[in-house]
Amino acid sequence: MIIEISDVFLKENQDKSKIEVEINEPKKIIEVLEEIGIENLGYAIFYLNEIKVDKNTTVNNQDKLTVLPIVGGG
Amino acid sequence: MTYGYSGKILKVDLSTGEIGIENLSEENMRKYMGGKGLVYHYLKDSVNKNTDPYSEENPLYFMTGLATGIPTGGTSRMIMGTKSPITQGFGISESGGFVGPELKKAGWDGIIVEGKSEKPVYLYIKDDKVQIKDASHLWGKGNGEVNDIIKEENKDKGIKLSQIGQGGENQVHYACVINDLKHACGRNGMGAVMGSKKLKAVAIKGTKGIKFKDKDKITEISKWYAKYQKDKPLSKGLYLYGTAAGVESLDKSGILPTRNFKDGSFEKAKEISGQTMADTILAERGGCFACPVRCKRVVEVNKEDIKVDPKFGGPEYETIGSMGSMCGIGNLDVIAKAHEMCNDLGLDTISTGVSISFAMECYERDIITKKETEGLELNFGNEEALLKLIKDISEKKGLGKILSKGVKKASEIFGGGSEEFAMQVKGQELPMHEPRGKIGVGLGYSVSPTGADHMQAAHDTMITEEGPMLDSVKTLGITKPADPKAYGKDKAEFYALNEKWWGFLNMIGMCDFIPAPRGSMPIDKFIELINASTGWDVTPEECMEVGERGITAARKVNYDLGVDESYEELPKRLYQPLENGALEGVSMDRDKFIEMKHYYYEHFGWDEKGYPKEETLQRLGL
Repeated sequence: MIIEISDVFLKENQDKSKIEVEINEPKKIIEVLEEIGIENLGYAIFYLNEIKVDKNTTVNNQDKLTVLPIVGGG
Repeated sequence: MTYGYSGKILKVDLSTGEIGIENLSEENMRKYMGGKGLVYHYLKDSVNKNTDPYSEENPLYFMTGLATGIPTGGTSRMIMGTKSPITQGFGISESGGFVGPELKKAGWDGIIVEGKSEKPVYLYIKDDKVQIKDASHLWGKGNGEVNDIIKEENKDKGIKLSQIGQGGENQVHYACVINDLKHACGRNGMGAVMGSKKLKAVAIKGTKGIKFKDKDKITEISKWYAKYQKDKPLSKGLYLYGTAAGVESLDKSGILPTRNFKDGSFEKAKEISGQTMADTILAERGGCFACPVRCKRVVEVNKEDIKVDPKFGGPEYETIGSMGSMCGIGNLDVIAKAHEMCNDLGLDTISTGVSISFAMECYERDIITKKETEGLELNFGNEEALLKLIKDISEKKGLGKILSKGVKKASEIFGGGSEEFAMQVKGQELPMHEPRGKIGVGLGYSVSPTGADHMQAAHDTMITEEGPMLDSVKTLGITKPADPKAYGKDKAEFYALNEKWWGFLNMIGMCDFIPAPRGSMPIDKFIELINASTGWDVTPEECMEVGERGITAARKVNYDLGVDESYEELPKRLYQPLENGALEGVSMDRDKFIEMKHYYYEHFGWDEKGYPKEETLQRLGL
């Protein structure tokens, strides 16, 4: 699956904001992201194939996931 | 001896030329903690229902708060107040930057400007030395040029300046006050009132500094925070992409105000996002006094057909929304130009953009024609029309004269049912946040004392589930997340608790982007900072009570001025469905909304019409 992650969640040694990962079985978004070392997910919002979902949504290999920072106005 | 504030307010009467000092007691400072509270304290007995906001009877305040000037970050706020020409009620507008801390360093907690000068003047403050200087040679000039002249004639490039441009001189209702060219007291018509007093600028140089009770503790917290915030998502997002960091997610969520709030999604959202700005026109990341977050943008465009001067900073999210998606414009160069023009002319970018967006819709619906637009093809997306109308509004010329009054008045003039999509509350144009997807924001627009305002409370999208965002505010008594699209009693209480905290931050002169929940500094640490500054023993409970006092005080003034519940109507468009995006077909439910608003009144101890009950006023010492 393809994951687009805002730079906000990338560490200094993680320079790729677009990542392709292979998942062998359906998994929750949070599990996939933790496996690739993405932290602070309590501050993120998730869009699966352009639709807003929560972190416990199950994803498959053909999905596209976008991870953006929470927005709060101002 | 006071710590963290001086206890002195400068008082200037422009009618008589008298300059004096108003002493501020510790009791009152502890009660109000600055900002909006101090404006209430002085305004309540100064104006009445019949006071013309442009008359010499209407005072204009430049206030700071207890936090202003502490060298930690976010401590930059200057809070202006007056009887607003837009709402005819309690007027407040805040700004970051450097003016507030400079005023405190000069030994003043605030300035009260009374009366009206016969000829243009500016106020020059260097510590205790205060002069009213002639500004005849500055009248008619833009903020950029005047900024240079005042610094030059006082031989001091370090002067901090609050200014009005031609918009304020001409009393465009939503003219604003621009601070050091990059920061704005944007809302409620502060620039128009300043212009009515013929006060072109306030120039400040402070060399005295601020006395803190425990300077070592402040240094320790400041150093800790500068390091701590760096990798925290809330701060990092603001640093990397500014306040426009959320454009794409708002668009994907269907809550990016587009084409006068008809739509919730803009096909060119990516092109006007904070990310695109960082990749294209961003020259540097700027900031306010002592702030390590650096959320401000400085942009530069140097093309043959369009140039944008970096001395005016760069567009915030509000400007990107109001001049961009609202006007159907997906060109960041043009939006940056619109921002530069508004800062030079002294116009609030939100009200200016919403007014032009409104006119574009009226044109597309044939409510106005080329006769009214003087030949201008005023369709959404017309970049030249946007820039021309900004200038015309500042000069009150042609269609710009009507739009200079704001969309409420303009809809009364245009007719044709346009009041249904005149996006305003209490006469003030809506900011760039969509209530159909954030019901709490809609409540805020409705009940805010200053008209539609997005800075009254944390937005619905922040605390939607268990997790670190909710954990960060539990100390304030906020223990449950809320669904952004929910109504009801729980939602009203959720909003009210958040509003008390933000109300407190607004009073104390603190940027909402530093303490939790919007910022990364834990609330307990922030309160420790205030106590280190003052030597007091402030608690979260006291903060919430101060916030509540400010909210109820502002409401009391408004009702006394005749701005009551009948002024809390949301625009009819919000009860109609969004026409595109993820929330296509979604509208607000008016009955549920009104019911929620009355739960909100109940929470604050106000009666069924929203007026504070006697026991509430007594409890809060009002």
